[in-house]
Amino acid sequence: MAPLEPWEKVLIDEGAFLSTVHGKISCQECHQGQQAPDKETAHIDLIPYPSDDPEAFCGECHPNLVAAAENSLHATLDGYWTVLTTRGVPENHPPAEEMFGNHCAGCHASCGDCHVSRPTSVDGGFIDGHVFNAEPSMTNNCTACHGSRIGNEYMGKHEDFKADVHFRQGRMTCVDCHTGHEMHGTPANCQECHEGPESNQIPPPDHRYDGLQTPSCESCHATVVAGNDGIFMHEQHSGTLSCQVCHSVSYTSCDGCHVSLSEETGNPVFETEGSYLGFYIGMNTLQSYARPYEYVPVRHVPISQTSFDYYEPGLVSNFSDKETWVYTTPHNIQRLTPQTESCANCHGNPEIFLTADNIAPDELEANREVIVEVIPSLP
Amino acid sequence: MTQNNRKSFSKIPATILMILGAVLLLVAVSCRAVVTQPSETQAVESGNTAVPDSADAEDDAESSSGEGQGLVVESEPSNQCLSCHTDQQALMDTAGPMVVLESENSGEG
Repeated sequence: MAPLEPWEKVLIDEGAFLSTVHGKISCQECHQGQQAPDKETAHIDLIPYPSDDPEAFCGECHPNLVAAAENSLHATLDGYWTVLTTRGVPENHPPAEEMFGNHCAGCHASCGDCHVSRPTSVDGGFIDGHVFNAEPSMTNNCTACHGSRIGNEYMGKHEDFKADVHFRQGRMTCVDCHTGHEMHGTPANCQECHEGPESNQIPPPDHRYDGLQTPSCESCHATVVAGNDGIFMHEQHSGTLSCQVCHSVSYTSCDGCHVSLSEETGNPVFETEGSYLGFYIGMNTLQSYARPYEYVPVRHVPISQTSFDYYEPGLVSNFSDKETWVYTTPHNIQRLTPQTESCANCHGNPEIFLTADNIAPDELEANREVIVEVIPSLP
Repeated sequence: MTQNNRKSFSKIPATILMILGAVLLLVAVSCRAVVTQPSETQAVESGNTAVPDSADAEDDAESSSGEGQGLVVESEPSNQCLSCHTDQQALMDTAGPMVVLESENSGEG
């Protein structure tokens, strides 16, 4: 994504913007500042990103969306804290808070980050001359943050691997599956949250695979998932394997991320030891009513025992309490993959399964539940 | 007969006066419409928050007073935010230099 010129980031498309509902609101209503011909005076008390306080600025007209979205993972970033605290990073601990603020908090997405500008984490800038887009742009919004793995996989940017069939043939963008209901945490129906009568109270999600699958493949491919489409393999494997086990291809994993502040500029920086493409089937550690699969693809996340040592050695004190090869849903779905070519490409093939041999010795304990101990043989 | 003649004579000036009055009213209304039309058009083109820039407003005021109509063009309060943020050249002139920071990260993020 090419960077925008400074002027380009703040140029309002007068014709387009003023004809919209938001164009009827005076600038100062949201941005405050002063009425003055010179920039310095005009920008006194300016609020550049009003939606950083969504209740005050967006909530007046969109109260339900704002109230729900405040509990979404894009707003709370609870997914980070879930894995950090599981691995022993203490909450309310100044070095951990500082690390989080420098390296994680920037991923918070405000209303404006999705509907007006590129996210502030990639330096912002209007997408359509300050026009508020109901549907975020795939490249300017979604993959601006979710680019190095999801974006590259979905758009086929890895050599030798085709783009996801939903993009290549369906020309679908992120919002075609990840609806506003999901993004704002305002479910479209009861069953989207409630798994059954036993779960009548749903806490806000604390990681991306919390609760039911939204979106889910069966939303569109109901007969496939139920094994009613006449394809024998679907009938055989449905329920045991997640769809991605057969229909995704190699995806990116990363190793050994370490974060710090640059000695030269003081900016937060990271360093990863390696990234590579691969495809591994592991055991499902999130097995539930919503995700009953025994096997799922697993991706290595770049946590290490020393990832946050710059801030305080030993912050990752319970490293082995959480797997480093995690449940994943690669966004490079293909109808035909090596796994669909032949039974022998999976059955009896140790190359495709996550075995102890594939795991670094100091991560064996953390991945005890993910490791496939016995490779399924040909029936 | 005479009475009838008197009646018709008294009717003529009244009718003429009514017609003259209507003509004058039409002239007055059409003159006002001509003077105010530019600012109305601008308002429609730019939306509710848009206002003609000060130079245009002054031109309009001058031309209207030059015609001796004595009509004042109503103008909305100036919106300096829009004046600048819809003017690419103004933004280029006042923007800070583009700073392209070389990433200090290493490896894929």
